[in-house]
Amino acid sequence: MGAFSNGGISQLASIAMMPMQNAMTGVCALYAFDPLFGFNDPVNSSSHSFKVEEIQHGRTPTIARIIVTYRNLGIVTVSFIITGTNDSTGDAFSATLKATIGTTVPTNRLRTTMFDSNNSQSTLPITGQNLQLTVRREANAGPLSITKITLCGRVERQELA
Amino acid sequence: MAVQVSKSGYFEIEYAGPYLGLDVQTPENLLDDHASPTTHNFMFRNKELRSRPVFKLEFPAPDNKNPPLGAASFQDVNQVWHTVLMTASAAWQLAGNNQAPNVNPWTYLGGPNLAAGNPVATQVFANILYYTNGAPVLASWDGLSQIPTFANAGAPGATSIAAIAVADAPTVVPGSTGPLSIGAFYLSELNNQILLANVVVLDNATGVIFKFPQRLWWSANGIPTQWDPIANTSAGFNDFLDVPDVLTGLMTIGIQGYLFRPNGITQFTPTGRTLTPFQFDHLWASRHGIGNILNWSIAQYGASGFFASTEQIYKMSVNSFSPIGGGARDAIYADIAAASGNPVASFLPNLGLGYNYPMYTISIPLGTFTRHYQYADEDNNWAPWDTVGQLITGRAETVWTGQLPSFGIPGVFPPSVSVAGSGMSGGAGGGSSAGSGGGSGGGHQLL
Repeated sequence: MGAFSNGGISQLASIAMMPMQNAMTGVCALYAFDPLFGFNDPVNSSSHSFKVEEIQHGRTPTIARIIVTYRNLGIVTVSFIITGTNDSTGDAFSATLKATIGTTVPTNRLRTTMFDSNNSQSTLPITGQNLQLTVRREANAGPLSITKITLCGRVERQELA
Repeated sequence: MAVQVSKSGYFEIEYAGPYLGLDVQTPENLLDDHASPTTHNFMFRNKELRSRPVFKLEFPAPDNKNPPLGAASFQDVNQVWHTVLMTASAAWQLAGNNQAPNVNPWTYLGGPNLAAGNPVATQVFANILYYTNGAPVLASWDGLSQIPTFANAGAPGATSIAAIAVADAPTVVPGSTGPLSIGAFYLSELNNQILLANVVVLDNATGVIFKFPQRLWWSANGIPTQWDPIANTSAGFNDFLDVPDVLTGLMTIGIQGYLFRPNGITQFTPTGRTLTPFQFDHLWASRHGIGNILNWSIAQYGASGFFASTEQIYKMSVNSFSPIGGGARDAIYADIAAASGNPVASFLPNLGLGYNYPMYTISIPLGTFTRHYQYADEDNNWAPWDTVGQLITGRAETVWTGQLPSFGIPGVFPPSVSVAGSGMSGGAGGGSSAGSGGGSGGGHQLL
């Protein structure tokens, strides 16, 4: 019989372990992006911007409604921010729709919600050039999983001089 | 795609997956509908736009004075798995049991001093874990002994498994006295021979360090403790003096090996001959060309290898290269240029047992945080994930962890984490509420 093993570990779980050192304190630890603990990072926020929309080049659009389909992983507070530029001054501005979606008990099912100017925390509609949607979730604001977003609006119809 | 506008001026713009990830190289108004000019801590797995998983402290490190340089799991000759962590001062084993929050789970193994700050390179051969990291030492642990091995019976006085005895030292390394201890920055295996690239040799008699940054040194065939070409002709080394730069990495795919330099790649193939076990071919011998510029950017999974060249990030397989940087390349290289420490890369097939998401990751320390550029290999997109306050000190590696402190304990997880069998795959009945479908007995669903 050969020698016995010195210690050992079971294969009940594995993680992608990352050796890290705290930038301020120097304390070292092994970290992981761990889906077992969900998608609500308590320290790091999340944001995602989409392309700048022209709708019709040179025409000024107005966005009045946002429709969001998401997977219900629990309660999450999310901001839908639409930025744009003023056609004549070039100034940048934005409209923000802050919403709390999901339920206390996550169902993992898809839900669809519409937001417009009737939403209490909405500054919609927004009118301007170069409109761009950004989705932002603050740190510890909840787990967010979006499957589809639709922006609804109108674009000016008069012919350009 | 142009937005469709009705006669009344009404329009709808839809955003949905599959996503193309980060693209900073196209004007924002000309982007593809599925790309993003800025994205941060989101992932695009399964065509959803989802906040990335929690960045969680899994285990405290054993030694705050010596940051962890890397970890690996291996199976010993008794088929027992071990997870080992290396620091500059010692190796440590993860305890299989008694893991509790705020309790050090690491058991001291000891071993040689490694180079501080260099990520460790590991290789398993014949149920033994070998490791080195730029210090003149190759150490091993078989999972049976109390401490790792860093000596060689054939070269008394040497402090490395890779060693040359006094009698042969002056011949093997002219100017040395011996015994010689051999280490390297990079470690691999091909043709039953352990390979060391970018070699560092310590002359134990004089304390002189000999550096051979252009050298590949291989052990005797099937004998990882024999490195002396005089004692065994299948051991040996080759200095690539015909190229202008130094070795920055090593990879093996199938029966081929690849040596990387900043400006080139050299392919080597086993010959079947003892005296010249490898044939070397520079894929290109130009002064400037595709190579690996980051010392620890090479990562591999199966037949695919990844590396960062001067101008692009590549995915390679046998005799093929594909650029994968896409529209994220400029952002990645800007951050690499601003790195405050060693960028490191890894390929992880999953983020945990049962949660598959094959990704090549380049982690770049940036002063107060680390930015991890995640390349989803199946979806061909890049997503930057930041970890505020934490600086990476070694390669990420998928390792066995035994039973995590809170794994499978009902009530430990917040209800929003989508565990406990509430997944879509559980069907309508099981999907109505968290905790109703799975419980802790293996019913976890990670969506």
